Amino acid sequence: MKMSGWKGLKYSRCALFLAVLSTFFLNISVAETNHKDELVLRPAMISSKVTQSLLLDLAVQGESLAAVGERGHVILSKDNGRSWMQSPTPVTIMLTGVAMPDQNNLFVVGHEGLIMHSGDAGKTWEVQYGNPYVPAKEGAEDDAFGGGDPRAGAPLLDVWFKDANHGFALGAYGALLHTQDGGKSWEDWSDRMDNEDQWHLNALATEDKELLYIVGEKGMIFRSLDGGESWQTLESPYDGSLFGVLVGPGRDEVMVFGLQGKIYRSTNRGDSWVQVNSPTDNSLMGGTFLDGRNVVLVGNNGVILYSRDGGNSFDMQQMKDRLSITAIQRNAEGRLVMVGQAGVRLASPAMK
Amino acid sequence: MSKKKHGFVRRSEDVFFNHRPIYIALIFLCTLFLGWKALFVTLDSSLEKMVPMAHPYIENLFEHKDELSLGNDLRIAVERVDGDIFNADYLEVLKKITDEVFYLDGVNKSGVQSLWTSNVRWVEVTEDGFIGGEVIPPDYDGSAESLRQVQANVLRSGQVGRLVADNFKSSIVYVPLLDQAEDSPEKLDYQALSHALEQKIRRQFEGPEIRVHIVGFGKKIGDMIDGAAEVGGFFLIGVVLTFIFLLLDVRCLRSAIIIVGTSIVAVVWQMGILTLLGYGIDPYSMLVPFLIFAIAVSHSVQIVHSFADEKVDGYDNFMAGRLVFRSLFAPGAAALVGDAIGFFTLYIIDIRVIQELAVAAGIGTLIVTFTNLVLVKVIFSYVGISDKAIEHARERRRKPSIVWRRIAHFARPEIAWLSIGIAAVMLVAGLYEARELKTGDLDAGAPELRPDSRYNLDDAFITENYSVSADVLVVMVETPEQGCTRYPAMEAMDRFMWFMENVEGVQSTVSIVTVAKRYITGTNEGNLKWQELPAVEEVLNSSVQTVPEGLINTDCSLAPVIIFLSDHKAETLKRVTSAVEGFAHQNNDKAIASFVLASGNAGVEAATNDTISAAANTMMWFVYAIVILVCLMTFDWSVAGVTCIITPLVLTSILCEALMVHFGMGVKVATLPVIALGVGIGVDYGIYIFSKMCEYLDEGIELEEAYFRTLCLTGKAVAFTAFSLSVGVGTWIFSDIKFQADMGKLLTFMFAWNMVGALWLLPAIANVLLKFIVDKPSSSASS
Repeated sequence: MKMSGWKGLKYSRCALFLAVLSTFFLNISVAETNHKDELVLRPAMISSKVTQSLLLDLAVQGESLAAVGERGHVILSKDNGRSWMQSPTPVTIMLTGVAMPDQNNLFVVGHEGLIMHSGDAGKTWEVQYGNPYVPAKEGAEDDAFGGGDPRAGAPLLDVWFKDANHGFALGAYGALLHTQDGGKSWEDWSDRMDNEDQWHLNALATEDKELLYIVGEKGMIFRSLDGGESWQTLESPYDGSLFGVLVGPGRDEVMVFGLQGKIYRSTNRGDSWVQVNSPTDNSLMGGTFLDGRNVVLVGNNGVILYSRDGGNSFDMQQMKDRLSITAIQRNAEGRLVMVGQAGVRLASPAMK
Repeated sequence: MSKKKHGFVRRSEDVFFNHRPIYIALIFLCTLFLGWKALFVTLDSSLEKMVPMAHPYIENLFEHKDELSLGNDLRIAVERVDGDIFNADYLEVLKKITDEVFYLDGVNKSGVQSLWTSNVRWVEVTEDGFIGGEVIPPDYDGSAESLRQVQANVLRSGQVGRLVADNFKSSIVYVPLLDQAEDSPEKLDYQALSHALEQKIRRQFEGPEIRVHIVGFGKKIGDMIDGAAEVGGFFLIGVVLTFIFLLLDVRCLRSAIIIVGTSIVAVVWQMGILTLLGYGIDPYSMLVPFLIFAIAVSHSVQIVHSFADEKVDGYDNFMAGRLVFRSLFAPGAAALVGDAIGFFTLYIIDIRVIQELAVAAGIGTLIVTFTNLVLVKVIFSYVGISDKAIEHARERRRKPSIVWRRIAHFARPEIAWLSIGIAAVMLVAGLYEARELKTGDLDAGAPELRPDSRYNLDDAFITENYSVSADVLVVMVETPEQGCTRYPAMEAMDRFMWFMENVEGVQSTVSIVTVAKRYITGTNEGNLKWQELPAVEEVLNSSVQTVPEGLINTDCSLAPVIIFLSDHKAETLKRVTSAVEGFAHQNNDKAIASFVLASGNAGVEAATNDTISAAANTMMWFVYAIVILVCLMTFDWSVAGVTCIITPLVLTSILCEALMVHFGMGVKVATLPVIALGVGIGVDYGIYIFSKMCEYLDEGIELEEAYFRTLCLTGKAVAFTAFSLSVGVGTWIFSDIKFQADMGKLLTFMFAWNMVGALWLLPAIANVLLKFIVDKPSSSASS
C-alpha cells in the first residue's frame, strides 16, 4: 500500500507557484525567506548517552571529528574518535549534516531548515538560517509563505563547504542554499537546477571541489563542473531514491547508491551508468572511498558492504545488532568511524 | 483509680464465676456457629488489595483504568530445547498454546499477541511505499519455504527481543488480563488461573522438545496462594509441638488439651468473624491464625502456672480459678487490649492486605480475652489439674531451679549497670546497622517467592533472553481532548522520553512518539534523517493514524509513555519517579500536556514503597504510644514501670531492623506488619513479669528476691512461651513463599529476643529505677 506523508503536501505547489509569481511582481527575492527568528530554540540536553543516540552524519578534519544527530546533538573528538565531547548547541532540532572546512569552523544543517555555524570549534553557536513550520493562526488569512511553503519545517539533508566562506546546504523539496560569506547570508539557488518537481536533494559529493554531484529522490543526479555555479541533470539509471554519491580518486569514477541496496557506477563522470550487483536489499545510506580500490558502503539494518575492486563487486557483512548505519569515514589513523542508530562506533581493523 | 479498676475486676470475676454454665454454653454455641462460618473462608487476593488505593499514583491509575492496561498481564515463553523456533512442529505447538490461551478465564482476548495473532505484523519500505502483513502469512503450510518466509517476516517485524527471543530459541505468547472475568462481577480467581496455566498449558505442551516459561502478576499470585496454603501444614506442626512442650512443662494432659483446645477455639472464632465481615485469607494474613494461636497459648500458660501455684497453696479448684482470675485478669486484659490496638494501628497503612491483616489480628486478639483469659480459668475451676502437675509445681517451689537464681542476679546493681551498658552498645550498633534499612523489594524477579522457585527461574529465563525488561513504569500524559497527537504535546513527550532515558536505571522508553517517528521514517523510505517529529500538522496527523492499541485512548486525551527499567529496587524506583516529577513540575501545561504518575508494575510498586515508607515511622510511633498508654493505665501511671517494660521492646525493634538489613530484607507489605506485631507480642512478657514482680515488691520483699520469685512462676511461663512459639514460627522458615520465610525468621527472632529483653534487661532497669517503683502506690494488679 502506498502511503503519502510529506508528499501529500505537494498539492500546494500550485499555491507556491502563485506565491512566487506574486513575489516576482512585488520584486521580493525568494532568497530572503530566512525565518530563523521563528525557530523555537531550546538548548540541547547535555547527556552522557549522546554517543549512543541516533547520529546521522560525520565529518573528519585531521585529528578532529564531528558528528551530528537527533535532539540537537553535536559531538566532537580531537583524538581520531576515541573520545567525544558534546557541544552545547542551542537547539533540540534533529541535525542531519555536518561540514568542517577547517579545525575551527563547523557548519551543521537540520530540520526546520536550520543552518548553524560555530567559529570556535563547537564552543559557541550562531543560528544562520531557519525555515520552521508556523501553524496558521486561527482566523488569520492564509499567508502564502507560512501556509504554502512545503519547505517550511522540512529538513535540510546535507551540507558542504569548499572553505570557511563558500558552501552549500541542500535538502527536502529541492532546497539548495548557497553562501559565500561563511553563512552570514544564504541565497536560494534551487532554481539553478532543473528540478521543477522539487524532489528532495539527499547528498553532495566532490573530490576536487570543482566537480560536484548531488543525488536525490526519484533517482535524481545533478552534476556541476564549476564548483556549483551551474548544474546539469544527468540521465539516471534508477527511479528510486538515491541517498549517497561517492567520487572516486580517479576523478572520472563516480558511484551512486540508495533505496533497496541499489548501487550504480560510472567511469565517465556520470554520462553512463552500470548497475553493480548488490548483496543486500537494505537501503544504503553512506560510504567512503578508502583508496582507489577499497570502497565501503553502509546502510540500514547494520549492513556494511566492502569492495576491493573499486566498486565492481561487494561483499557484505551485517552488524549483529542490526542497527542502521548512516555514515562512515576514515580517520587520520586509517580506522573506520561510523555513526547511526547505535551512535558513534570505531570499527576495529578486523572489520576490513 | 486503682480501687475502681480493682472493683471492675472483682465484678467481672463475679459475673463469670457465678454463671459458669451459662458462660460455657454461650462460648460453645458461638464456637459452633463461628466454626460453621469459618468453613466458608476463602482464599482471596486481587491486585487492588495489594496497592495503596489512596496514593496519588494509584488514584491516577484508576482514573484511567479503562483506557490503559494495568500492567496485569502474563507472558508465556515457549522454548524449543534443540534448535530455533523456525520449525513446523514448534510453530504448531505455539499455535495450540495461543488458541488455548484465548479460552482461559480473565484473558483480554483482543490484546493477546503471539507470532500467530493477526496484530503482530511486519512492515517494509519499498519504492512504492509501505508493504506489510502478518508474521505468519495466511498461506503458511509448514514447508521449508514457508518457514523461511516466517523467519524473514520475524526479522523485519521488529519483534526480536520482544515477542521473539534474541537467540531465536523461544517466542512469547503475550496475554493481557482483566482483573475481573469478562461477564461477571466476580474477581478473577488467580489461583484457578494459575492452575489452568499449569494444566492446560504447561503440563499439556511441555515435553522433551518444548519448555514453557510463564511469568506475570496473575501467575505469581497463584503460586503465592498455593505456597501460602502449605503454611496450614506448618500450623499443624506448630500446634503439635506446642502440645508436646506443654505436656513436658506442666506434666498434665488435661491442661495441655485445655490450653491447645481453647487456643484453637480462638482461631476458629477469628476465622468465623472474618468470614462474617466478608474478609478472606490472603497470603499475607495467613500468619494471623498462627499469631492468635500463639498469643492464646502464651496467656493460657501464665494461667496454668498460676493455677498450679494456687493449688499448691491448698485452694480448691473454684477458689483457685477465682484467685488466678483476680491476679491475672488485669495484666492479661491490658496486654491483650494493648496488642489489639497495636495491631489495629496497622490500619493506617493504606493498603488493603495490611488493613485486613490489622483487622484480623486485632479482632483475634480481642477474642483471646474471652476464649482464653476467661474461659481457661473457668474450665480449670471445674476440672482442676492433675495431682502430678500440682506435685510438680510444689516441687518447683520447694527446690527452685538454680537457673532462675542465676538469672535473678540481673537485678543486682553492679550487674544491672553492666547490662544497661551492653544494651546501650547494642542499641547504638543496631541503630547504626539499621540506617541501611531500605524500603521495597531488593531482589530481582518476584521477591515473594524463593530465588530457585519455578516462577523465578522462568522470570530469569525471560530476562536473559528478551531485551524488554519486566519492570515497567508507565507515565500517563494527559492532554486536552484530541490533543494527544498535536505537535506541542508530542514534542514535550519526545523531550520527556530522552530526559528519562538519561536517568540511571532507565533502559528505554516507548510511546506514540516512537510510533510516529518510525512511521515518518517509513514514509520517507527508511531514511533516518527524517526520524523527527514533523511540526507540520497534516504530516503529524497522518503519522499517528495506525497506532497500536494502548498508546492513545479513544478521544486522544491520554497517551502513556512506557518506561522500561533495569530493576525494581526501591532506590531505582525513587530515582526514576523523582525524575518524572521534576520534569512534570517544570513542563506540565494543562493546555498542552501533563505528565502524571503512574501505572505499570513499577509504578504500583513505587506507590506501595512510598506509602509504606511514609507510614512506617508513623505506625511505629503509634504502636509505641498505644502500648505505653496501656502500660501507664495498667501500672497507675508509673513512668518507671513503663520504662522497664518498653525499653527492651525498643531494643528488640531496632535489632529487628538491623537483622533485616543483615538478611537483605526491605520494609514492605510483608515485613512491616511483623515489626508491629513483634512489639505487640513482646509487651505481654514485660507486663506479666513486671506486674508479678510488683506484687512481691509490695509485700516488702527486696528486688532480687522478688524478681527471683517472679521468675520461678511467671518467668518460667514466659520462657516456655517464647521457646515454644519460636520453634513453632521457626517452621515457617521452610515455607515456599519467601516472604513467609522472612516473616518466620523475623518473628522467631522477635519472640525469642523479647523474652531475653524481658528476663535480662527489665530487672536491670527496675534496679536502677527501684525507688520510683516502690515509692509509687501499689500496682493495681496486686491485692
